[in-house]
Formats: sequence, structure tokens, C-alpha cells
Amino acid sequence: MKKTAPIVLLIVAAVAAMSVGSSQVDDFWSALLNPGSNEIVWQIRFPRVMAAVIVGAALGIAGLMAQGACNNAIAEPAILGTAAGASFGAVAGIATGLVQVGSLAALTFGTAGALLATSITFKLAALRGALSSFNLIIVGIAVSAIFTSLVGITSAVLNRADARSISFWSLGSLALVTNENLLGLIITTLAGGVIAWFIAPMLDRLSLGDHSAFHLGVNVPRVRLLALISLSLLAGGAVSTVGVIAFIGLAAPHIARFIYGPSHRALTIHSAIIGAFIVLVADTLARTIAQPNELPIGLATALIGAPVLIALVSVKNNVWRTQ
Amino acid sequence: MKKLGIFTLVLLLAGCASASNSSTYTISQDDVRLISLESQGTFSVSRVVVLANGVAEIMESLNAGSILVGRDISSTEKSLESVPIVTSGHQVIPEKVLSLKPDLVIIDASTGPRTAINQIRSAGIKVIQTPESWNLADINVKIRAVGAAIGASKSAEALIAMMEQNSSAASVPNKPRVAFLYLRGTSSVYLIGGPGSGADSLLQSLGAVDVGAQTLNRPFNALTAESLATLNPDVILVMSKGLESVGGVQGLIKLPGVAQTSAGKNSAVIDVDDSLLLSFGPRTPSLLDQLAKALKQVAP
Amino acid sequence: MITIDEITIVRDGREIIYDYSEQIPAGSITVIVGANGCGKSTLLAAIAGDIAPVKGTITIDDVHPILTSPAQLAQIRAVAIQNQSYTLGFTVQQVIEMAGASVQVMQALELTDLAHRQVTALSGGETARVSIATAIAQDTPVLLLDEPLAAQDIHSRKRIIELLQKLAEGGKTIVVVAHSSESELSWADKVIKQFH
Repeated sequence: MKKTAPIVLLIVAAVAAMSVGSSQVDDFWSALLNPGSNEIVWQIRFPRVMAAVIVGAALGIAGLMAQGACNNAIAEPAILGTAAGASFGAVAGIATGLVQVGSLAALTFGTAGALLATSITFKLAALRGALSSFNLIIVGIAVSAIFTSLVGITSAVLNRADARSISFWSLGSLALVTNENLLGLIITTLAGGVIAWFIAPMLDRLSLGDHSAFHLGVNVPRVRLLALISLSLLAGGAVSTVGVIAFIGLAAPHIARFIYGPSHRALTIHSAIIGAFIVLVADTLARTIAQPNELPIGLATALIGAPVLIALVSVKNNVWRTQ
Repeated sequence: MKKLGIFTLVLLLAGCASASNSSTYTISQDDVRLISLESQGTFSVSRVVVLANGVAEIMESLNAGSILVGRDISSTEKSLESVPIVTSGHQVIPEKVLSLKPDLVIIDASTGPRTAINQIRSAGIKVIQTPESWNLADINVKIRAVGAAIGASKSAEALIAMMEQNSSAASVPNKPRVAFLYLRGTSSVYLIGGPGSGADSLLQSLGAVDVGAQTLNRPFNALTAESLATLNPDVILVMSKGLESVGGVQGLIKLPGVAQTSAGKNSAVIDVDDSLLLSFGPRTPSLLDQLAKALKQVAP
Repeated sequence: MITIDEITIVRDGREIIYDYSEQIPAGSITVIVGANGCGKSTLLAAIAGDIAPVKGTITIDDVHPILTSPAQLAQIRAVAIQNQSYTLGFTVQQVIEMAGASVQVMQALELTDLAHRQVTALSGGETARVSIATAIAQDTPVLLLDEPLAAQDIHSRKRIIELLQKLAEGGKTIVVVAHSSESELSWADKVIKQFH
């Protein structure tokens, strides 16, 4: 029951999301059962709802990878510089004129940018010996700031219409997603998710500490690298398509861990589902609450995710070691 | 039975062929001509600084270009290139105006800052405020006001008569449904012109339907992708810089909302130079001609 | 058998262990004893393959830990470090099962009642016992334990020592690091006091 409920809830939420919007759709149910029949439902709402689900799942798993690799509760793609790196990669790609937002090329540049930023964070944080989580967070915040300003500068200098605005990159938006964007998103999310699933047992062992994990047979640098690659694919794909959506990477794994425990195999699935659910609800609210205007999705996810996170913290639960 | 089927098929294909002639149409400054008087008139002033939108253009039409000594940044016509600009952005700089020793400064309601205008007045220079023109009906009022300001009322009437003569009897059949979109980069909402945007005046005089003016309340309204798709215009009218900001026609027709409209599917987009579309003045009759041509081409 | 051949280990620029050779036989318990900072944990880490000596070699049954992959090494030796701490709230049983079968070793170390307790909610002594249990569950020929008795009461000390003796009898090579304040070392087959 506990296992199937989330998926069912997600599907129900997705259908509900497709049924609401600023236009009246006559006979929603027959439109739903006939794919492609109603344009509003299938060309405007469907890609948006699917993107919300896939991006939410990607960010949920990305957060899990960040937390597992850093062995730290506040790690997430935004903190490690991954998200900023992905935005920079995408914008840089657009600057070369070779790339259009939402294309596979954009995803590649985004993933590369994510990889670059995150590896810089890891390299710098490990400079003085052991990779402490403290160093990771501090360095990550700095690297994130640098890449975010690079995005701002490049956008300002670029003056290219399709580079999207700085607020798109920093607050995110699902308004411009079309069905063509979905394929690339699915590819990066699946790839990142498969790697996550594969290294999950090793991440369990990593939580015992680098030394103990090594003693149990884990190749610690290699697992970190794989987590990094997974993180970059997941966040890179998502961010290049819809900008940076805050909070999901942090909140989804925590909520999942609270309900389902710390085992990374199970968490890969559940962080994905919870992440998908939050983004879906947030986006649906964002586009219906203040019609015809839209709230930036990043604000909506923060408004939903933050109280949940605070509630979690106030309930005593030993899933994270308390300091 | 079979013959009827083939006949119908051929008819259908023929229909499809003519419909697919739709294409985009760009109207630039060069496509439009200024209606102007040929003979030189006499004026009551000799050095005029123009700080009002569109007034320099009218003065050109009145053949008064020789008495124009200073302009604001929004007077962008190529013929005015040699006339010095006396504003910083849209802010008037009194010293620059005074240094040109004008005997008349023409302003309108949007000229500012007010303190700068007062400074110019207190320096003893005559300042006259002319009305703005936001639609077709306002044009003649403005021309008369400018004529009166420079002591060329007769010329003003002559210009109005000339414009009426050259007035386009232009109109388009089939009442195409046009949406005037104000684009500024890609964003999650569309801004669509409604009643009073100015574009409605142009479109209605041509016999086209401005769908925004038909269904909405304010000059500019926010619209979601879904609402635009539901509105389903046949033609989209935009300003050229705005079109550029979304990646040109290719970029525009891919956007959710636009892609689902007839206009999007047929690439039926008309883009007009930014300084041209809503500046109602002596170029407007020519603009209307061009618009009629454009509409006939993109929405036959 | 663990063969240590003229090793020199440098840490933070200092030579902690210098020209040291030793043979540690299988089927026995060897205890390395010393004061704080004398390098006993460093020696254990070198045997475990965590650090490499700058000179000399260490082999476990002719296998060089330094040259072996982590996965393979984990089949040969298991380690219970000092001050193990847990970030995530796995249960005791889940942690031990990351290494191997848990039921028997939990019984032997009286952890069965704690099987479903989260490791983040354990006392210092209980945490240490879980760490030891995990190493034992790995079921490797070599077992390395750093100060396993430090946080234990007399009863637990006895159980741990008994278990180690049983494992040694079964043929395992057991190396234990102990603080010099340990006076009662009769349970050890060999005691190493000097290795500089």
C-alpha cells in the first residue's frame, strides 16, 4: 500500500493537472482518452505536465546523488554548483549559435556545464586532504555564485532572443516546453537514473564514512565520480530545458528518506516520485492561481517545499545523525 | 462513384494548394512613404526644437525641415540624422536645448522631466504642447496643431487634403482575424493588444477583425498560451524588434500557444518596423496600403 | 599470514614507523600496544591497505593490499575502525548486512535486541559493537580491529574476547590495536610493543 500509493497519487495528480488551465476544454475525458485529439490538452498541457513530472523526478534523484556523494544532509544540485553550471553550459551553447534551447544539443551543453562546475567544486573541496562536507558546501556555494554571474553576464552580452531571460534561468519556467523537448529530457533522466540505481548499494556503504566504505570493498573515488556523472546528467538535462527549479533536490530526498528510510535503492524510486509530485503540484498552482499571469515555478516549489522540510525537521527522527 | 471521388480529391488538393501560399510579411521604414507637400511654405519661427513624438515627421511633411534644429531620441527617421539630439534617453537636457537658441520648443504630454521644461520656459523660450495621436482620428488634429504652432496653418490644411486624396481605399476581403501581440523575449504570458491599442484602429479601417479588441477590455492584456490557442487568430501582427526577441518567425511559431493557432500553423505573421506601426502621422496612409497588401498575402 | 618487510611509514612529514619487519601468523590473535600517537593505528591502516609505506612491503598471504582493488581486498581483510560514526539511520541489522550474514554475529555480540534500532540512536559502546560485528560479518581470513574494547563494559569485553578467540581458533588472522593502559592482555597470542 505504502509502495503503490505514491505512483497512483502521481498519476491522479497528472490527470488532474491536464484537466485544468486558463481555457475551457469541452469534454475533457474523451479528449484525454484520444491522444492528440484536443490541441490544448495534448500540445500545451500534456508536454507541460510530462515535463513537470520528468524534471521533478530528475531533480529528486539528483538531490539524492548529491546527498549520498557528499554524505551530507544539505547537499543538493543548487549548492554544489551543478545547477548553475548547467545554466551556464546551456547559455554558453546558445552563445555559440549552434544550439537552441530545448534541443538535444542544449542538453549536452547543459550536462557538460553541470559536470564542469561540480568537478571544480569537488576538486577544490578536496584540496586540503579529505573531502569534508563542510568544504564541499562552502566551495559549492562559491562555485555556484561564480557560474550564476557568468550566466548573467553572458545573457546580458549575448542579446540573443532565444537565450531566454536571466529570470528564466534562475527561477525556472515550464511555460515554453513543447513535445519535442520531452525526448531529450527522458534520455538524460533515464541515463542518470540508471546510474543512480546501479550505485545505490555503494552509496549506502558510503554513509558509513569513506574509510569504512573502502573497507567494505567500495571504490570510493569511482562511486563519487559516478554519482557526479549521474547528478550532472539529471540536473543538466532538467536545467537546460526549464531553468533552475530550487528546492526539489533538497526536499524530495529528505521527504522520501523520512517515509521510506535511508536505503538508496528504494530512495531512487521514491525521491523521483516525490520530486515529480511536488513540481507537478507547484506548476499547476503557478499557472492557475493568478490567471492569466504565472508565478515563477521556483517560487512555487519553495513555497511548497520549505514548510514540508521545516515540518520534517521538527519531528524527531533518527534518519540523519543529529549533531 | 469513383469519378466523383477523384473530382472531390482534386478540388480539395487545389484548395490546399492556394491556402498554402501564406507566408510572412515584413513592413520596414523603406516600404512606406511620407506624404509631404512639395512647395515651401512660410513659417512664423525659424529655429524649432521638437521634443514630441512624430512631430518632426509632420514638420518634414509640411516641408519645414529647414527650421528644425533639435530633436528627441524617438524621432528616428533617416532624414533627420543631421539634426542634433537634445535628450539623454528620454530625458530632456535643458542646456542642450538652450545652446541651440531655439525660438520654439514643441512638446507633448509625455515629454519630461517637467522641471526641465519649466527651466526652458523660464529662459524665455516659447513652449507649445501639441496633442498626441493614438489612432487614425487623432492624426488631423495633430497636424493642425503643429501647423498652428509654426505659423503654417494653411500648409497643414493642404497636407490634410493631400493625405485624404492619397488615402487608401485599401481594404481586405474575408474579414481576417488578427491578433496584435506585443512581444518582449520569450516569457510565460503573451501581451495582446485590445481596444485602444492603436493597432485596432488600423485593422478596423481595413475591414479586418482585431480579435483582442473584440474580446478583451484594456489596451494591453496578459494572455496564457491556452487562451491564445483558443482565440485562434488567422494572422499575428507584431513589431519587428519584438519578433526578433523571440527568435524570428521560426521561433514565434514554435511557442506553445502560437503553434496551435491558424496563424502559427500557416506562419501567417506580419511584422512592422517598431517606429512605424503606432506612430499615427503622414506615413500612416502608406502604412495602411502596405498592411492591406500584407493581409491579402498572409491570409488570402 | 601477514608479512611486514622493512617498512617505513611517513605521516605529516614525520617518520612514524621506521624500518619495521614482522610476521603475524594465522590462527592467532596479535595485539599491537602503545601510547597515544605512537603510530599503532597507522600500522593497522597500512596493513589494511589504507596507506602505503614509503619503503618496504606488506603482504597478506602474498597479496599486496596496496595493489589490490577495493572489492578484492574486501574479500581478504575486514576492518573495525575506532570512532565509527553513522550519518544515516540504517538499522543495526541493515548495517551489518552490508558486510555479510548478520544473525549469528548479532547473537554473539548481544546485538539481537538492537537489530531494528537505528545506528544513529546508539550509545558509544553499542556503536563500537556494531562496527565490530560488521567486520566480523564480512567473514574474511584477516580481521583488523582498532581499540575494540575501549568503550565496552566488563561483560561486553569478555564476550568480544571470547568471540575473537573462537575466530582465531577457526584459522583467522586477528590483529588488535590496544591502548597501553590495557593491562590484561593474556588473551593475546602475541603482543607487539615496539615498532619503530
